[in-house]
Amino acid sequence: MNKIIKDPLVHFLLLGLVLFLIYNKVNDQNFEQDKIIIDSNEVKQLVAKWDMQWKRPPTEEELTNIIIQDLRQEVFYKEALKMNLDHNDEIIKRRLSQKMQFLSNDLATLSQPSEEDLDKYYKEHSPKYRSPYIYTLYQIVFTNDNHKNPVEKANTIFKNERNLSFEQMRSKGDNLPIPYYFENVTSHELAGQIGVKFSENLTTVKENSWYGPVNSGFGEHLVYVIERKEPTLPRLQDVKSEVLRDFQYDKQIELKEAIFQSLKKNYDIVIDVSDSDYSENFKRQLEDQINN
Amino acid sequence: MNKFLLLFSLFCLGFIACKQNVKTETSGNSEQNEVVQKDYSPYVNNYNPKPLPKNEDRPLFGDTHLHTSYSVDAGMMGNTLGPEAAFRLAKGEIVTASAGRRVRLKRPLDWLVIADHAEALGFTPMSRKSDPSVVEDEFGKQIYDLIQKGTPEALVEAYDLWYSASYAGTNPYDTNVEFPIKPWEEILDACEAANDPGKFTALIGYEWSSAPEGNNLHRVVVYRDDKTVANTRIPLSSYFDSNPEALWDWMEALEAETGGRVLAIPHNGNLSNGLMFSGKLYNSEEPISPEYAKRRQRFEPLYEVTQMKGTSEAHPSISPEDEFSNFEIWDKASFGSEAKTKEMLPNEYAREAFKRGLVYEQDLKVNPFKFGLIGSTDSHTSLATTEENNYFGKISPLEPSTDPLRFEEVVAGRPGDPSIHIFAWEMAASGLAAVWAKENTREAIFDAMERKEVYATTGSRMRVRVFASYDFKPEDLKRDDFIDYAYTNGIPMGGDISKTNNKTPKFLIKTRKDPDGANLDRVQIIKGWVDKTGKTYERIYDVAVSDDRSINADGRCTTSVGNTVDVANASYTNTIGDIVLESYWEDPEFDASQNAFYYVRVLEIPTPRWTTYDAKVFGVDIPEDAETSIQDRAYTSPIWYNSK
Repeated sequence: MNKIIKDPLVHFLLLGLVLFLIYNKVNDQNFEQDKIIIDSNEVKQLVAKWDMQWKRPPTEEELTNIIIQDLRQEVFYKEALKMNLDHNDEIIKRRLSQKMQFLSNDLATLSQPSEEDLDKYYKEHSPKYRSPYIYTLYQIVFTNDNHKNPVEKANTIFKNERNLSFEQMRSKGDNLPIPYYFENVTSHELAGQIGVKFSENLTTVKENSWYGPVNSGFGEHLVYVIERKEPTLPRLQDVKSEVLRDFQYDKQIELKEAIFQSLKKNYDIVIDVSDSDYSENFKRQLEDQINN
Repeated sequence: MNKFLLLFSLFCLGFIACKQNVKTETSGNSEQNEVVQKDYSPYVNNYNPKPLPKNEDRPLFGDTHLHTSYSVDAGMMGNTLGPEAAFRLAKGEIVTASAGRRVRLKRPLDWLVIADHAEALGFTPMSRKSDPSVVEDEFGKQIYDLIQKGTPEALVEAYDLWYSASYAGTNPYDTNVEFPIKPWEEILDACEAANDPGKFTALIGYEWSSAPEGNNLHRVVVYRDDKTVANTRIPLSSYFDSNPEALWDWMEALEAETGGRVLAIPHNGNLSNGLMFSGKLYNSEEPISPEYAKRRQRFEPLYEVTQMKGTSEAHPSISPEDEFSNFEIWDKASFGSEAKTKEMLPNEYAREAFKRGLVYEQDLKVNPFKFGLIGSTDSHTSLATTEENNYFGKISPLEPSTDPLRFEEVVAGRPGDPSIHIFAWEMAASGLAAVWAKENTREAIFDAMERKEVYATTGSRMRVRVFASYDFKPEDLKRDDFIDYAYTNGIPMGGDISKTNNKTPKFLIKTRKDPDGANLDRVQIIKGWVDKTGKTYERIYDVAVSDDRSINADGRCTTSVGNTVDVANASYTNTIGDIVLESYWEDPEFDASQNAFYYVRVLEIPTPRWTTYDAKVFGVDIPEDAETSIQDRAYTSPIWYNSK
């Protein structure tokens, strides 16, 4: 129950109900008599609007004019509503549908998630917040520039020379301007230096032995991982603002869709397109999309 | 005739403006390639080479010029993504583009500048929210209703109304200094939230969009500081004054008021119809003055040489001996109706500006055109995509699809004769800005930009280093401490080298391919100089070439690297080209009495152009005049030699 009360979708539907009730009540009154009330609230609003544009309050003459202008708009507006001129007007349709959508956006930002919600979201999306792998390693590389078959060359060196000291091993690879030794570099940094593929290939390499060949955009590497620090998940409180931003960003997208799906249930949607114009396949796909 | 055609012309009119497992590949040998290193001596494993040299780092790749829905032309054209989505994509997340396709970068960017148009900044998002500043303004409401209507015809009308009012000087939003306060604040908040020093930098910026008669004088303004400096003033609208000197006044005042720092980056000289590097003051017959030259040098240390709207390095007709100059060239028009003439070209291209700058320096004692080079996207989709196989178009309606618009839309020269039209297929999937900064922070990146230690790429991430000194030797290339040595004894790209005992400058150049991209074809030094009479010259030297090809006595390699592109499959192989190209180079025709500049150009092997990938993915025809393959490249900032 607690969960239902917190669900923004429920808020949205409740809000809709309240608005509906108020609307009906107000409407009932209006049917009794056409009445337009110009109260001090209304006038204050007009003055504020004027002030915004002109940076000064209106004179009495000006105020009279804008009140009459406003009245004119109100009268035409009410008459237009009576004549149902708002129905099927493309602009009004779009605007009203947009207003509904903005309500949902606002709800998403307004609804501050509880600690539990945030914690749950954090756990579900934890891979995103994990620190990158951190490596300390040596590497040598055999490139196409210098070898007909870099894989074979790497294998030969591995087989015959892997017990050499680090100092000796250094000269076995091609002389490339890539560091031989990396100390405490992130996988992200390695990707920048040697490429995404190389960085990804390192996650399962055993520590404290030569290993290879490992492929990169440069060639075939032999790698000696001294240390690999596994990704760790920071404490939620250390990344809270980032998680909150992501939560609200995702919620907004989710909620928009959820509201549409839930409101859609109020309608019986009939697809009535003639078979001669459109293929069966198209019709089926359309139905699937609409009814899923 | 597609009803969108007019719409897009208006865009031009705009501002008249599975993770891979580790393979052991033991070639038939099933022996596990793993063994624990065992040594008697416990100290063997203690071998401890020096940590990385202190200057060892990698270039930080970013985009200085990305538009979001907060730019009027982007928002009205259907871009629904704001700054947050733009940052998310740049950081490597998957984003759904405005037209509905999912997109992700091959590798995240290191930094990004959101550079929305200052003019009526945020009108579309404010309009979408029915903000009172839009719906309670008579003109705003008119536009608002049309945007609400949303049909192509209505959008055309909105655009038409918007820009005709702008031309007539009656668009109240162009010069409203209150309106952009809220949207500017929203952009700044997005920047502050995305900025993550050390990991990802969100630099603050905007675009000042001056384009008299449709001739492009746009500049992107970049801030060194945070929100507290940027929110002291709203971005300057070019509708107050389209003279670039007015922008410099504004920048100077902002710096004086806040103690902050800003720089401006002009772009698309190729669409300026001779105005970008003009020798005359703005809207005047008067020649540029020493004061002008000094201010231009101070406020505009960089130039955006390549982006989606073409490349402005060199033009084939001015540099006929440069067989690689014909790259993504837009030379028929600007955004106005005026056709391009030959006389305009020298004022539009970077290499010519560098040469002419040397001449002005003789007269004015200051070089007005002394700038470094960067590339950027100028994308209006909030998506900083630069790879040929990941090209998301310049504006949202041109995002990847089978719609003929993606190739056929007229994107420049629209108000003029059809013969000067430039089409959407001519858009380039370009470019990036590489910055040699010591750390990934706003301050470090900005400072590297100011000292011009930057280079442009047309979308790939190759690494380019160049240093000059009188004392370099060929064997220096192989030094273990190369980077520290080069910085201590030489000057990097963007710097100056002054006359010393008539010695000849020597260059050390190191380049490395994009580890996730294509191999390299060649490295070139492009030299320009001026003689006593004020006549300018240029010369291209190949200084390193791949695949054991040779360089002749003239300093050129006349053998092509070849082409592995399979057009039908939109693929290529790295079976040609090299991974690393390096060179020690000494100017063979050096004259110590002549001012000169040297910059490096690095070419990749041919790879499929985006139109070729489109043809493969969507089964459409490649536009008749489009190249099926291109050679992506890098251009460094020059090193200037001063004879005094």
